[in-house]
Amino acid sequence: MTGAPWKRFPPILGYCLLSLLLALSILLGLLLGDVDMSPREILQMLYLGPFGDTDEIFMQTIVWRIRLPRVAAAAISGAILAASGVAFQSVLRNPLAEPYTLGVASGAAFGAACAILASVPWVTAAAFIGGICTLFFVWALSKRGNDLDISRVILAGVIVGSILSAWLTLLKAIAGDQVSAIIVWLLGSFSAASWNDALPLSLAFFVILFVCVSNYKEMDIMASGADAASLGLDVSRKRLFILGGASLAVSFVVSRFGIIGFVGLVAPHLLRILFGPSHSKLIPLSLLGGAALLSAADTTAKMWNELPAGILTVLIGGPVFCVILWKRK
Amino acid sequence: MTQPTVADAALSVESLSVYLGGREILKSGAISFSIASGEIVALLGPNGSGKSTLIRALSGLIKKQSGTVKYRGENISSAGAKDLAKIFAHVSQSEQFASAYTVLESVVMGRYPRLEGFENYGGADYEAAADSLQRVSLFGFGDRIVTELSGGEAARVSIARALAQDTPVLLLDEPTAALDPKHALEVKRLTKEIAGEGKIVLAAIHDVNLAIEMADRLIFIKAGAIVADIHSDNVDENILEDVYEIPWEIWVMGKGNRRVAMPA
Repeated sequence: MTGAPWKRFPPILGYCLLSLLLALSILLGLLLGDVDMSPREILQMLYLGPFGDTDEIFMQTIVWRIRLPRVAAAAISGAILAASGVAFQSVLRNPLAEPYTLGVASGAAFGAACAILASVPWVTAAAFIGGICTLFFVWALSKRGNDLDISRVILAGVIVGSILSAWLTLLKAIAGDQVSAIIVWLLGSFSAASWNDALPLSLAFFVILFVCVSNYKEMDIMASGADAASLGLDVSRKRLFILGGASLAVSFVVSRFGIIGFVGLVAPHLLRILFGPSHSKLIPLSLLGGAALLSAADTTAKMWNELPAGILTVLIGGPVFCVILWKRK
Repeated sequence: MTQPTVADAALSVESLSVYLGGREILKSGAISFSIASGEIVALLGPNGSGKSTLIRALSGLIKKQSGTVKYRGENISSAGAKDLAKIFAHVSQSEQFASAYTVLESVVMGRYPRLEGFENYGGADYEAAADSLQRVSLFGFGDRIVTELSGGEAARVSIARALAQDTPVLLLDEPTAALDPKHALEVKRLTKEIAGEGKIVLAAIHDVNLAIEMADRLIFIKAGAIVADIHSDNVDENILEDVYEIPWEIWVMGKGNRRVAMPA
């Protein structure tokens, strides 16, 4: 094809715009809620800090103990999901790869449902184990010889995901009174976020950050379609490291906040179209974009009768997924 | 005798064998040869004879079952991917560009083996990439998107990336298959130029006449074994007939008495 080269936007524009969007959606997340507070009061509370005896103990508690943890958890989770989407997509060379399509989310949901049904308190741990086990099973299915056959990963992920969904439906059918607890968990929400989530979330964030920053050139080579091995890349080792790290980070998020689909799909895909596939730009843009997207989705969900954020992301993400499929025909 | 002596052989391969899917693609004890610096060697043979397998095994894309590969006397049989990528640059038969990188972004990836850890591509790397683009007549294509290029342009991007890798050995797998006569001729000229710099070019080629013109030496492979290793001027009907199992005629014609081989 000849003609004018494809116009892409300079990444600096993306950084500025997405930072602005993120700041705005965080501010909105702090501002909106059952108790009316002015932006001035919010900023004042932020300035006062979480501790100390002030006359505004009520407002301080709302800002620091309820709204800030929630909006921060949503933003960081969004960043983690988007960045791991980028990692999955580059390594598997497939724009449809993300935790949702790879069965990791279904595995986590199945684990959580089992724990809820058995009335054990470790729902998060069970979800985590479920997600990781599913991923290893999908890998095992996709292996050909000693290497991963990337064309089979999505297929295996979808099949394993479907089987787990069927089991999940079965569990719900026999769950009796506990069915509501399972359903609430499945919907995915940040309403219960607290400072207790700060440590695991930041751990997950640094895991995915390290995976991406230490492998951005490798992700480029693997995504490009070049014979990565002849460019000196130890492909199977890199693949294991990147997929393993991204899955670990995602499992943290899914196990605590439920299934939040499509953030890992939509944000990277849109950003790739606008700014190009080069990972030195795509990774920071996706971190920002995912954070902005999920914190905005969660705030919208909160104002909308406490609708779970997971539903909203799928409602927006689903159609985008369809468009991607349509265009790939 | 065209076979270089062991002393001046830059690349030597001894008893290389490859198993794929339980089948012996390159037979043990049947693949041994050496190549001197600045030599262009064409690998010829029918489909499935093992030409591409040999090239892929050398560049480390597939595992060698046994055998020794030496570069300048140093055994590199079990060298890591990054070390191999500093010796061999490989242009594959049909590269599928899977993502919308620009031409320059794609070519600069050839510099990857030279970088350490977190290091990003620097000015020298982009200069090498731009220089390689110039050499394959793609200057000014740097900002174009690789997935929107024609087949011939894409093939030249692959070659440019291998040139940017700046290795002493260039492995080409059907380098001209996607190219029109003009650009095929350019690749032939470029190959000679590269060999003129003292580098080794080993190319799997189907077109017998292109091989005769381009290469100093022809290595014929049949069913995973080398059946002939001759100077290009010494090619005759018997060898071709033996390898391809059809009758051939060789004509000496045109200006410069060029040898042209045709199935009879």
